[in-house]
Amino acid sequence: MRTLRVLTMALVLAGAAGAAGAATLEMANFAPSDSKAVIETDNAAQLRQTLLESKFWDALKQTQGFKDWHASQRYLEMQERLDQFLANLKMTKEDALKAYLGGRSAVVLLPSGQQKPWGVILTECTFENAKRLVEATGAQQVATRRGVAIFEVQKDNRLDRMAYVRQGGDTAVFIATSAGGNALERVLDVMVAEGPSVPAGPSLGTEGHFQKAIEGLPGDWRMRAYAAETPPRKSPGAVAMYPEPGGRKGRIHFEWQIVSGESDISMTAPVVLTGPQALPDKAVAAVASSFHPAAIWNYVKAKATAQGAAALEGLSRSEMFIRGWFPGQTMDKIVGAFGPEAALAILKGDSGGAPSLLAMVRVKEGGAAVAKSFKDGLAAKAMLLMGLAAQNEKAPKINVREEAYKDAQLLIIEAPGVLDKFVGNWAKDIALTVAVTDKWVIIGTTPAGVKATLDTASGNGAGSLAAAAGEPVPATPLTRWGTIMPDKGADIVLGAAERVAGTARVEEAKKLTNLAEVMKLIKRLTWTRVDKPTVIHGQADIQAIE
Amino acid sequence: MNPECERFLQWLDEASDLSPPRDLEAHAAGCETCRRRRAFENTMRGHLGAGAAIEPARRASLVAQIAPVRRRRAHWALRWSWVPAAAAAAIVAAVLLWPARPHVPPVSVTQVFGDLLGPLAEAAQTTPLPAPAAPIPTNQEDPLGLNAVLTSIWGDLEEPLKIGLDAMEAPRAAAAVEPPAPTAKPAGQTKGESI
Repeated sequence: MRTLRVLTMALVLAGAAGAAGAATLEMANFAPSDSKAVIETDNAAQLRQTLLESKFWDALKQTQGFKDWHASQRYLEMQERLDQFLANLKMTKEDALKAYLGGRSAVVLLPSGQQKPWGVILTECTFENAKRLVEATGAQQVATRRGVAIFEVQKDNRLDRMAYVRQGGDTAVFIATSAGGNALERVLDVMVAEGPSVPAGPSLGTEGHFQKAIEGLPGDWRMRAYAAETPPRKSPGAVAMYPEPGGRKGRIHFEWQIVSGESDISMTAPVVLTGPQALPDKAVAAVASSFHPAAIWNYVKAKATAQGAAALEGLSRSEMFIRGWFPGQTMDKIVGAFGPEAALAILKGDSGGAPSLLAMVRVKEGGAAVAKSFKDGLAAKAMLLMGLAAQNEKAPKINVREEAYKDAQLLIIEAPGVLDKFVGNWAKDIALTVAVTDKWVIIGTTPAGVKATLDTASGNGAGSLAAAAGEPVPATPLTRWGTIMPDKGADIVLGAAERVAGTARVEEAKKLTNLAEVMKLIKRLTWTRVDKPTVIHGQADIQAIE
Repeated sequence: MNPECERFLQWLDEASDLSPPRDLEAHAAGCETCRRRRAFENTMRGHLGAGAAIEPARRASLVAQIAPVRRRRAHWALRWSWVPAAAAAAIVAAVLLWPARPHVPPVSVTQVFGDLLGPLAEAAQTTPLPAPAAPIPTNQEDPLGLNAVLTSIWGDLEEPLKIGLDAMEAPRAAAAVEPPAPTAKPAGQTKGESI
């Protein structure tokens, strides 16, 4: 009996080891080294089911576009094709999905010499199921490559080519493509050695640019997409997806890495961002960013110098323009007064009031005088305009005033009558408002938004955006931190769109895309970006409404 | 033909196992021809049994082809016993060389995989996707640099989004499916509820 128990345990462990081995099949190791893209998925069947059972999918099904697709000839043909396939396979759809998409699968895009790449599908299954799949397509063996049988089937004008390769034990990788040329053979050449004299070809998985793109991504991804040339940089990059990380329902986590090459990151060097703590929780979208004006100005100067006289002339005009906003300040003082951080936000209005656009920039120690000169210069310009408008009856009326709010003096510039026809009742709330503290210059489109931000920045607000974002803002240096809260912000966006584009057009757009409903399903999207000397690392979390 | 031989052949044609009734067993014990006939049948069925891939329907069809030979053999076998033996051997060979794969209507497996892997891609074709980043304007066109700021923020997500959207499209690229231009048909023509 003891022997039986030991034997049983050994078999169970062997089975577990086999299963673990199967789960670690790296499809990138089967992709040729010059692949344009590889999209790998772990248990695509389950991911697919999760998507189809999601509220997001339900909302998408209500869109007119989806309904049109569902009623199309194309959809009908797809269903017929699937039914025929399952009948040939003698499997239920669920069993087929589990058998052929329950392990690792991948789509490899190979260069074809033309704009459209060749696509090859690889999927992990048992050896018997791979054989069964080939038989179910009606394919016939037409050739061999490195001892592996190649099968072909003609359906209408399509020629599908396929093969399967044992990967040890009962595991196999099934490969299929409808591409012409030698796409299938190129994958087989990477997967299979031809005796001791001809080794397997070089794979993408061992290439340095691939390793560089994926090295910062946690390994427990469920889907990982690699692209050799991602615009606009045209450098390698990879994105990985982690659904429901830590068991958090309705949450999808993404991480990505873009290879930037040896680059100067002085303009985007990460810093510990404090903007999310300074912004109020009424923000529905916000971005906090590292901001290095001296480095930016130096870069612009160096670039203009390299480009010659015309560029230097343009630089001179830009300098005069900027200095015009800071009376009495030199360029060096101006760029040295601000940073290393700035933020932009959209704040929800109180009780149906107008939303506020808000920009804020950190003031460096010793930069308060420069910041104050900006506020004074703006006031002078506005008063000049106000004086000119008073002399011309047709000119828009401008009011300039200062208002004390706690320890700060707000500069408020209003243009009553100008905005009414665009934004209706919201016009009474809107005024360009500037506040300067010892830490921040805050510029907003409503006095209420600037006041709320002053409260939060001084620690007296009801709550900060950082607390409301549902994510602790990393205490480590970041290049960017952003959040969008579509469920809270959808009304603002759509309300603004209605005022600008008209109710009828917005209603049409809503019907076509179910945009409002889809937006309301997403509680927030939060992302970070960290620039490093050779790569850009990003993360994003999407939290659905629970 | 000896009526006993005739009866033995009849039984052999229809028997599911090769254990004859007692009276035929007694006949075969004394009839060299019938004994050899049963031995041959035994060998042939052994070969057929070894061809595990052969479907029952095809096997029945082959047996049906063998049957007339046996009928003829009933008349000629006693004198020409090597002829049906050779014919049967040829049929056994044909059975063993018969293509093992049953005929199935051809299916494009890449299209099926594209269908199964790409539901979101299909749906995405029907909904607007984020617009590409606007070109960065010159200072003259955008003195405050607002567009440049927005483009910079968009740049955080532009590359990963592009990789993600291309990944959604990839199964369709592998299946060489062109992006659809949905053409609505009457609702009654839809089939099935899920994709």
